[in-house]
Amino acid sequence: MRFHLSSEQELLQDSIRRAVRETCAEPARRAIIDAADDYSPALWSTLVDLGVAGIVIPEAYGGTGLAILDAALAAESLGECAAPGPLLSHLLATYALVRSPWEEKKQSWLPLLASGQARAAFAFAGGWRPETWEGELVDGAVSATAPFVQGAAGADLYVLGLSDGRLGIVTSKEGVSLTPHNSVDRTRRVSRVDFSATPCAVICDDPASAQAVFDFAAIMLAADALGGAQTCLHMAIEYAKTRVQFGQPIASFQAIRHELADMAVELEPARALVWYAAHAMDAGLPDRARAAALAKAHLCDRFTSLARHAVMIHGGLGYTWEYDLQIWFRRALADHAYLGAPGDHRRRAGELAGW
Amino acid sequence: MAMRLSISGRNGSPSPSDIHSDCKEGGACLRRPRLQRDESIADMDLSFGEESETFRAHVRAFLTQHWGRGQDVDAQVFRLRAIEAGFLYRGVPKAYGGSEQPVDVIKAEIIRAEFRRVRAPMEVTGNGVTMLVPTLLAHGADWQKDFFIPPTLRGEFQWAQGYSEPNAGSDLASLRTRGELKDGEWIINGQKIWTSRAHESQYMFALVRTEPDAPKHAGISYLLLDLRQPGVIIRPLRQMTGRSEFCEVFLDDARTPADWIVGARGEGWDISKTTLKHERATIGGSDRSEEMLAKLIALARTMERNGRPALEDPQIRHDLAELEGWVLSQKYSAYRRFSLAAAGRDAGLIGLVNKQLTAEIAERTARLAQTLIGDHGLLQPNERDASASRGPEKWNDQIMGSLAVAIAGGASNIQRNIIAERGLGLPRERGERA
Repeated sequence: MRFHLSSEQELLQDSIRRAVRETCAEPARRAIIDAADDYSPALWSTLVDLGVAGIVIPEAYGGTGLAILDAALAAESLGECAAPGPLLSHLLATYALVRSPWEEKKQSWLPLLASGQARAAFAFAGGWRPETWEGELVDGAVSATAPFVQGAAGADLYVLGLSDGRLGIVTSKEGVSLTPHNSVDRTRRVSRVDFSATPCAVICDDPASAQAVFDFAAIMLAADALGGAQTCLHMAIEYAKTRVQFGQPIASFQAIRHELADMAVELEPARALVWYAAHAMDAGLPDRARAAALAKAHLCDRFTSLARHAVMIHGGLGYTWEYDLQIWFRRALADHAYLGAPGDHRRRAGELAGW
Repeated sequence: MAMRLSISGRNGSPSPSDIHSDCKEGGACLRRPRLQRDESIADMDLSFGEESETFRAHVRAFLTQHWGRGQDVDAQVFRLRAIEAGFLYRGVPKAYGGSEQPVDVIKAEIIRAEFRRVRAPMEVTGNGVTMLVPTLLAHGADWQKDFFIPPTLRGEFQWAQGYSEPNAGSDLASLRTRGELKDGEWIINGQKIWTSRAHESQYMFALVRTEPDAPKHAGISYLLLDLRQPGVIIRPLRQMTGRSEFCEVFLDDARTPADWIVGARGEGWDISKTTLKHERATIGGSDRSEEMLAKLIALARTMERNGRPALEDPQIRHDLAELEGWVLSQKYSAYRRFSLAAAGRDAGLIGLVNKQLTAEIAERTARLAQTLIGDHGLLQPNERDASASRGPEKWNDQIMGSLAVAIAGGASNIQRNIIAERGLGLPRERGERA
């Protein structure tokens, strides 16, 4: 019986936090936020060197070979720092490839993806649930529009969700055109990607793999939201302790203290829900898909709520572009919206529960 | 798959100099710390190990032999056997009727789970066992331990907790019930309130102001007294639910012997903070919340909305799943607290927020129940023990009871003060002492 983090896992999170903060110290992060794309070569190489880019890739393919829980802990730390860039999309695509039975494709791509020499992105046409994916494969080619893709700019390959819950790989640029959106989350931009008769090969044709990739995505977003919410609480506490009004720090006013306490009551218990969802996937527990759905729904609501509270405690300052809180508020909007809103995941959790 | 890793730098752990190492662009960076697998690190694991399962089998064998199906077994006789076997009162010395076992939260959890499974009698419930006994063990005189602890463990002495007063609730240390030592006796005058089950108790442990000239917290003593005397009048208070669980206790020249004081005069405030630390952690911290959620789902199957079972209504389904997110957060946080306790570590913030989380879940459950029972919300539930049946209106008991969850043991706004001060390190307000 063990259900708390090991010192090694705490060290893992600490290393990621430190590395991201040093690499993305101002003005570097602001430069990324104001740039046309979210990709930072310096941050990418930092994360690659830490082993994060290949965190779910087995060691035999040059990866770090860690568990889903470790990937979730990494995602939490990245969310805490609002790390910019295509990592989430890259990890979803690499996880799909890891699950593929097609050895040749794995041999040729996974080592490159682990070493960061190649970047992958995860895309799908149709609805966010695998059973509603729409890409049809005709004579080894696909024509489809993926409306919202993270990390598309600079991607060397796509893992593409296809109809009937299959997963394909696109390594050709043929017929691929990319239209960047004006993204609300400046740290993780989305693009529309059109595939027109683009060569594509199926890497997983069992719906279970598509489902697993989708559950993994839900857990990673929940973990990102956990980290982001933690930062919102932390920033609100630090501000309340230093902001002086009526001759005392506003943290000594009960209205503020109680708001901060309520934020802690929302946030701290949710941590174990993320751990459980990740552990359930690692251990292959029967309720893993439900746990992932409930974690995505619950954590994205908590992040949204904590981000709102944090802005309120900061007052006008929290509403400015100059102050960093907006970075997390916008990231909360993206975590909430991407791959299904909380209500959608709760509907799915109810179906999976059999009630 | 396993969750095993270590991070190795040159010296086994990363340092800022490792991170700022002289990597060449595009090349491998040997000095940078890198995540690696380490097979020696324990994985997260929600099962109990082989040794623990052997212990579980031992507990089951005991229960089969001595409890069976619980028919024709005297609870008191069973408890004595369970104490002898080392299963109950594990933190209490044998000399006082306990089983005096080394701290082992996993064994304690297995005992709790197995006893509950067959509904075997556990430790006697009430303030005496949970509050007074740990206090006496830590601060009591030898004769007090000899005299009070064994019958309390057997359930023969029932105790009322005399803390709150009409004008001393959240600001408990402002209490005014006074005690004067006269001719070898404490003469006690004042009033206690919200005293749970005082009308069913023989004794009270009370906070009493014995040093009127001392500062607020330093003037209080921890006294024991017999409630069965002319100077004590107990009046049960009728609750919103219609039932009576707590009382007012009027003390009018109530008397107790001079040596029925625990600790020294004026030390009562600190002594009252003594809590049961021994094997207190449990993974069942969300049992009640889970049970209520299961009952809500069952209710939603039987109640109708728009001519269909309410459970088919999209909004009801959403709200149930939303509540489940809260309940599972509490459930797995209980695992986390339990795991930390088993490792001898302090739970910190996650321990402090649990009371408030329980209140939050109870309120969310109540709101959803109100929606589900609809018109039945107009009705007063029959008593549980009455022969008349209880329909959906019985949820009105839970709906009102959810308020008690939020008030008892420190109302929500006091909990927020505690979380803010001890959990988040925020400064205190003037005059406040959480």
